[in-house]
Amino acid sequence: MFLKKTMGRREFFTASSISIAAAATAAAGSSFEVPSLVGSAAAATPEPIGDPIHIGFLAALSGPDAGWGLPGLTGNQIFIDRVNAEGGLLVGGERRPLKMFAFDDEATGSKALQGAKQLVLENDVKFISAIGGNPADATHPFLSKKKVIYASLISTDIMPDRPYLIAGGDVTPRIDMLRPFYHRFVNPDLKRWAVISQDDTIGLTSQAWEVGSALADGWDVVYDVNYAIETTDFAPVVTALLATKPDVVSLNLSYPTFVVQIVEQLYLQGFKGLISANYLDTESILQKVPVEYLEGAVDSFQLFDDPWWGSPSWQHDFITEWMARYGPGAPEDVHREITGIDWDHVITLKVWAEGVTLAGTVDPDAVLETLRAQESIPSILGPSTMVGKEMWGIDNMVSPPIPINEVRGGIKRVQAVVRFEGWFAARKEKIIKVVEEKGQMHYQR
Amino acid sequence: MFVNWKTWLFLIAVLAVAGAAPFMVRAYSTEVLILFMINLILVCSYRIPTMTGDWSLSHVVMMGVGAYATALLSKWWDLSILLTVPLSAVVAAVVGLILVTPLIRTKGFGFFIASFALGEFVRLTWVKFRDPFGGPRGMIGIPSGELGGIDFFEPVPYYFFVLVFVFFSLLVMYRIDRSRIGRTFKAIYTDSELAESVGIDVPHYRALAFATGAFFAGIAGSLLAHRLGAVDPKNFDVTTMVYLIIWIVVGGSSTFWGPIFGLTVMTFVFEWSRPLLEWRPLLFGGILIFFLVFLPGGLESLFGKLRERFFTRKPLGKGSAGSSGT
Amino acid sequence: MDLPTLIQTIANSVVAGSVYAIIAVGLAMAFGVMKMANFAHGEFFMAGAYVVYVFYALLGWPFPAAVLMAIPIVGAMGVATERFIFRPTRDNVMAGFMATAGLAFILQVLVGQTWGVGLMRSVPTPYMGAMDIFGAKIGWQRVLVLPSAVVMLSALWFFLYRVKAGKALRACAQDPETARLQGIRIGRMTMLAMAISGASAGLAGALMAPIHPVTPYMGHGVILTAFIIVVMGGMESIAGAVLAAVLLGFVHTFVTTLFDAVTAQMVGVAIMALVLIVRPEGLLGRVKA
Repeated sequence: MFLKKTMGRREFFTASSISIAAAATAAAGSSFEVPSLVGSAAAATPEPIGDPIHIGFLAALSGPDAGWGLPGLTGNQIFIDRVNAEGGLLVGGERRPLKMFAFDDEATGSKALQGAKQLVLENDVKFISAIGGNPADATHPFLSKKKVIYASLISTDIMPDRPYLIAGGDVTPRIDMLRPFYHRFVNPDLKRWAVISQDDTIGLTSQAWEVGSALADGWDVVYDVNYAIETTDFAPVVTALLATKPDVVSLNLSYPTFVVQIVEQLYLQGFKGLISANYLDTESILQKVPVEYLEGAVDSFQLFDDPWWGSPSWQHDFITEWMARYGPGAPEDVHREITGIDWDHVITLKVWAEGVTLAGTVDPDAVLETLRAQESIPSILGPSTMVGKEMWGIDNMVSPPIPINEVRGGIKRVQAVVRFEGWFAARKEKIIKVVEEKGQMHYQR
Repeated sequence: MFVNWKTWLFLIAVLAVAGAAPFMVRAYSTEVLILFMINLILVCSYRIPTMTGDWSLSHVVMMGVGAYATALLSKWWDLSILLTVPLSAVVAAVVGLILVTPLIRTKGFGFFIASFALGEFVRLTWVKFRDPFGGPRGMIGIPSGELGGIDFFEPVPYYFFVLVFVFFSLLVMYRIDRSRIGRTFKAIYTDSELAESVGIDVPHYRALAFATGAFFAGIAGSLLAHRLGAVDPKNFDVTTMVYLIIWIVVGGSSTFWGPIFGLTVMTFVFEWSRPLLEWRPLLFGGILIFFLVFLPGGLESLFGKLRERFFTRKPLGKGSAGSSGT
Repeated sequence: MDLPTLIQTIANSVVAGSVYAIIAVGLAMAFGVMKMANFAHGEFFMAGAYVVYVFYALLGWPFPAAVLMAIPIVGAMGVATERFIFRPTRDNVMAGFMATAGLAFILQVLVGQTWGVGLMRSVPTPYMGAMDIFGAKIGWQRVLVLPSAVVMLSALWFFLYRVKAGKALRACAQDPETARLQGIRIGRMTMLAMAISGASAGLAGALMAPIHPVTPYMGHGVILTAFIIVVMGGMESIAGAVLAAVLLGFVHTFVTTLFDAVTAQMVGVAIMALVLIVRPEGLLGRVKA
């Protein structure tokens, strides 16, 4: 399963001038403290306390989709409490405490709209953390009229007629676009790229962007299919895929349960090549396939206790704090392991908070304009920018650097952190052309 | 039209309160009231097929048909809301008629299951066919409607628009309940073989009840679609159907008012139980079981018993206690 | 469809048919004896899967032991359902049925709160690796479903036709009045029927736990299929249920492979509607007098 690499990854990245600030600091063993404009309360006279700012959490808190929503409450709460420990968010010379209100929309459009109305009309929220998808579609006319920022996890929700919808918490599809590039250098002998994902909007759009990127970086895309989202038996899906004899099987943004089943089938049907995906739930997958099979597989959801970040670091601190507060035996024990969703919503929340402080107001137009003007905004994944006009028609995508992990001995370890903007600028025409041919550009959907 | 002035007074009082309500409560509560009224039409519409004993599990799908019809009509022909609502209701009635054709050969329990399956079939067509139904993501961009320059995006104007529909729908459904057709429906429920033997065309009346219920469910669906601006197959799945059943079970269905009462009580319970988060469905499951096992007639039967206790004790001649209300 | 895919699909159909048979048989039996059906039957299936999750994945018991545990545990759930829901609503079939819808909600929430909602629980595959049949690879885990189903159905047949209690059960299903006159206690029989109903659903869930993602909502997909099978087979007929289950297993699997799962569901419903129009008593059901 191991593929020969002709040059060490470190040298490659230095040679290609991709930002490896994190790599350097990790190598030096120093901390990776995420900077913040909020800063510590070092002022000689503390700022006056202003009115609280209310934040909404509108996502599935029960029912089958709760896994994408409910865990996010913990991360958001940890962030909010940190801010409030300083007195609150610094806005125009005042410290305004944050307060979060949750509403269960059961991932249904109608309930989401009801929730949006309650959060805005009753709780006067200025910002809403959400999962996205159907609820984003249902709520955006109301939220646009009321000028409330809605932070979806899914970049495919961004559209020019949704001025206040931002996204980027989940790094799709940028990660799926960068993986072919990563593999091109790290696995230069390989040529044949196969990609599958489910046939909902997220899958269709993300896959289009991945295929465009793979082609732009010189791969032969030998298989490009979206399976039905209701598929329960992946044996035939994988059989058809393997008939094209790929070197790399990419799972794009397949939902975690699909990934487990697909990898299981790849194992059972004897695939010996490279597995690459947006998110690998290694714990679940390793219950279906032996540890050796997953060696070298690639994804992009890093573990926060990865030594890469160094100690102390925001990531390590977060895990420690989460365990102390929500872990087993802790005061607010949530009776489950930490997941990627626990911190996923904080990415956009923190970026918005920084924007509010910088702009000195909660007015959404001012905040967004300020964010777009920044060369770099501190996020928990690293320095980000607000971009996306070429991809989505409006600069509402929070773009942090993207970690790329490989599985080693059953554990994911960060191997590189890659910046998107420069890479995209060099290839955008080619990629956009492919996405357009597939009918997945925002003006076609 | 009505028998006595007391009913008129009651009606006017209700309308007065309903008319004043949106001005006295917060904006969000007006939204809740709008949804309540839409559900009011829905729950009363479900009662109609149950009058013949046909407890279908496909009723919310009929509401969905109305909603999807509205979505398509608005997208293709940009019709005014005054047209989309009645047209969607007609579409729902037609689909109801189509669906009831195979169903008519079953009854009781078989009807239950078959209606569940056929309802799912319709719902699955929305999920499967992205063109034109939007697939699992549903459809968005349904206009909120406007009339004479008043934009129904705002809750208060739309509230009154829905109120008008509620008034007329409930009026018609009440009249059906009281009419000969209504009595025929109930006769079929009580003893369908007997009804047949006296010459009542049972399948015809069952189909009529089903289609009429679907018609009004379609109205509710259309009004909902305009309010949400979007439709989603998830809105009309079996979970929503169970909630509808809970309203009717809690309220009772032997009188016209039972379902209304059940809906009112459960709406309060639903809003107030929000803090329970993930535990809510358990509460509702428990309520359903409790009522079905201990109080199958619903709360209206409880009132019946109470009224018996308190009113029929009085000796004859002391006032008109025995004839109060319906 | 090329040969390996065809073989793969046939193998999958056999597995699907076996599972459907186990699930549907319990439902048909309960309906035959009590004229009641259990809307929470899918949740019993889910409970069986969670039994395996708890005993095998969490507590480390051997897989076969964990599967066997599903039988008494979910069987007991069936008995409790009979006692507390079906018996009090005996005169009103609809009420009993709807009450079990409430039960379904309750079970989903209880399981979800105890073992977590959201991201699916994975049960480790006890028998990794696959069998090679003419070029198609069938996972061992799936291979063992068929013999398990055969054993279970044989045991059931033996019980119904050779054991006194089982024969009494059949008598009850065919003619409750006469059965009562013969001295058979209906209460005991309904309890027995629901015990078997629960146990079989639980067994099916237990066998599928390593194959299916385990979530509190995994019963959703099962219940509609179970009802379709029971209606197709003739509401009370157990043999009919088995036959319909196998047929539907093949239809579902082939349509899913050729098209997709939604289409398969729709085809299943369409077949049921056809049966209802052409032969309302089902494939092997009795014509109502």
